[in-house]
Amino acid sequence: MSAENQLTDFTDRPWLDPDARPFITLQGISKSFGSFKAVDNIDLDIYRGELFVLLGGSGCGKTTLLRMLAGFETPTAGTLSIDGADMSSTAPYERPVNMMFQSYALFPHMTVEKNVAYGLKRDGVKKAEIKQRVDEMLQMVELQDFRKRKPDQLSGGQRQRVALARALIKRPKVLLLDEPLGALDKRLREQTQFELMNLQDKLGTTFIVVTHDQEEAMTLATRIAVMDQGVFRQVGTPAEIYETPATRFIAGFIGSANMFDGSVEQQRGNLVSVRLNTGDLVISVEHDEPIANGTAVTVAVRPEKIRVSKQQPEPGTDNVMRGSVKEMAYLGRNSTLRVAIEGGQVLEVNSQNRYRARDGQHEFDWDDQVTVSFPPASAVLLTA
Amino acid sequence: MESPVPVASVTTDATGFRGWVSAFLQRHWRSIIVFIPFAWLAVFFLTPFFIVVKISLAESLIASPPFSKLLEWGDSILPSLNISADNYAYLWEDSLYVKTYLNSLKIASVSTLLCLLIGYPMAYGIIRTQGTARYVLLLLVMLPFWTSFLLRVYAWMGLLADQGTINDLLLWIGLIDKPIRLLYSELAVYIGIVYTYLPFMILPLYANMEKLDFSLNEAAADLGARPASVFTTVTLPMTWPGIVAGSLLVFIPATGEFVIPDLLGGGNVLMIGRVLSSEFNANHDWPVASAVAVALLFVLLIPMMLYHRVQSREANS
Ligand SMILES: Nc1ncnc2c1ncn2[C@@H]1O[C@H](COP(=O)(O)OP(=O)(O)O)[C@@H](O)[C@H]1O
Ligand SMILES: [Mg+2]
Repeated sequence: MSAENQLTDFTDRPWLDPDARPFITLQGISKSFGSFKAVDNIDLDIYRGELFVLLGGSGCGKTTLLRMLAGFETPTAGTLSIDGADMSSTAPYERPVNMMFQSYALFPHMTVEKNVAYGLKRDGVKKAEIKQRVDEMLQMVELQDFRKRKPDQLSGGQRQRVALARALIKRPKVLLLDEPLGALDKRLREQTQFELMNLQDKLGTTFIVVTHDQEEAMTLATRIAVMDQGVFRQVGTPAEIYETPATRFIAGFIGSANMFDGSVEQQRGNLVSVRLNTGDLVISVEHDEPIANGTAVTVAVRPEKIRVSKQQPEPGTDNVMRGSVKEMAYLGRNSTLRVAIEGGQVLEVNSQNRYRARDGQHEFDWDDQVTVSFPPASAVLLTA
Repeated sequence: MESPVPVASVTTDATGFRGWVSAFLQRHWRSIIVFIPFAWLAVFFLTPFFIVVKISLAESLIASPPFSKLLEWGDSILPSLNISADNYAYLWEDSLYVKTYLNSLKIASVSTLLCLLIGYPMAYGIIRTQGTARYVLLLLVMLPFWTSFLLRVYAWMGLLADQGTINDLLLWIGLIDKPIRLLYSELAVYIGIVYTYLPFMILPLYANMEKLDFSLNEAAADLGARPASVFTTVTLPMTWPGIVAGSLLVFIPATGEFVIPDLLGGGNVLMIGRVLSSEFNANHDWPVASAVAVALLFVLLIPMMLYHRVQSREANS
């Protein structure tokens, strides 16, 4: 790919395109219940065809934000527009969005077929067309054989697919999904994640998905907004959020991270030396922005980016620490080690199991003396 | 190794009769639980009902008891059977009875409809309130039960009379210049029945609506249903069992109501309860009174059975 092409091809990353028009725009959106701020002054642009994930712990305001998009809650402040139209005085039944509810909210007195047809019937679509589109939709979610059943005669996974079909049949501009896979068991959830992605790819509908499961967010999302106490802590692609977390909170929330607290000793080019608070150790980290000496910082390193070895590292290796294995969890493909280093801090380290363990003999075992190391480019410097 | 079987039998022996009882209960508890309501119905409903049916097939006599025996033990070995359907034929032939039945059904239907129209929004309103307010409202619905029913009907007589509170008030405001007839009219009977039976409409509706899942309303709105459409496609079907229960609880006793038409309708409103009472107390014609009662039961039973047929056919389709 030519350099020129690389600069102008934003089809998969419209948020980078300065000329792109956002499809959904939230400006200063807040929602208070009494004196409690469930959503606090959120700005956000979502582009057409995105699979945008709102990720956050329970009670952080994800559902409330989604309900404001659907029109069930009125924002206490701010404006939101969808496809260029301001939504502040548009009733839920007039919005070009459909929602898949956390509880599915299937109509218990209607068959699968009637549930799915409900939205089209309300729009006065002709009988023949309703039948054809319901057939199509049921085929897509593989529920043709269950069309005459009532929701209470279906399994959790089948109900989830009815809810999805019912929300998609009106071909909404935006589909809102509140914890769509939350009620499914792990296996079914992983399988359904890919089905959901394929579907979204096929239909080109903009999806906004709420989840508290970070792995699910990483799998599904074009972009993730990490939410906490009603505000966005970071918005970015899964890789951005994982590899360059903006804060300690994000680094700890997404995946696991080893954090070293210290202060900046000096900066040379894009290499910063950080003296740790726990002792004499000095760590070097890559960091592009200028930073003043003495600034209190945290260095975060992902467990899989740390090398662990029983041998002495080659001279010249950066960030070498000596320690001993305190715990080991054998996971088959790899092992997770907890290594106590000088100064007392315990690091989480992932080690690939490159050799077969025989007779219970693993490459690393409890109380083994090891060295750990990581290159400066593998760590991030956090100031917040 | 010792087998566990003898140990088990020893335990049974040790507890003896109590063990047998508990084993019996464990094995048959389902039948026992089902038996209790059956026994109750048999003793307190079926038996009296068959006695009434029996009397309705007899002839009226001036004696004690004032009706003929069904089985007469004469000279022959077999008793002779004296069954007569004359009382039923009489009900059918005398247009007064037919008219009275029809009028009772009309008054009960209209009252049921009025109770539904008033009670449904009230029950819905109560459901939509939160916390203490809800229980206060519910208590207010049940509050009239704390005073005697008869006393409350007398109170309505005081309110509706020509020199009663309502007329006094209307005169004082100047809306009317002479008292209007309220008491001893069909209107008074409607007021009495709706007032008395409203809680019987509200309470089953409340119990039904308490289980309503309002996220269904949101789902319907999300799929493009306007508020009126949400009501007819979601709320109404979901509350249908409550509507049926409340309507039956109002309609059935209202059809046979005696006190309200007697006290508030006077002689001007024909209702079957009053006819039954006068056959029994004034005419001392027990067989005709019994026939009136049995016929009333069938008049009420037929629409219920039809309804049930329609329901089960719908469920099967
Ligand atoms: N209708 C409401 N009234 C009062 N508080 C509410 C209401 N809805 C949500 N909340 C509060 O707002 C916060 C965010 O809720 P929600 O958006 O449902 O969180 P999430 O979906 O992220 O778990 C919670 O603390 C919740 O208790
Ligand atoms: Mg939620």
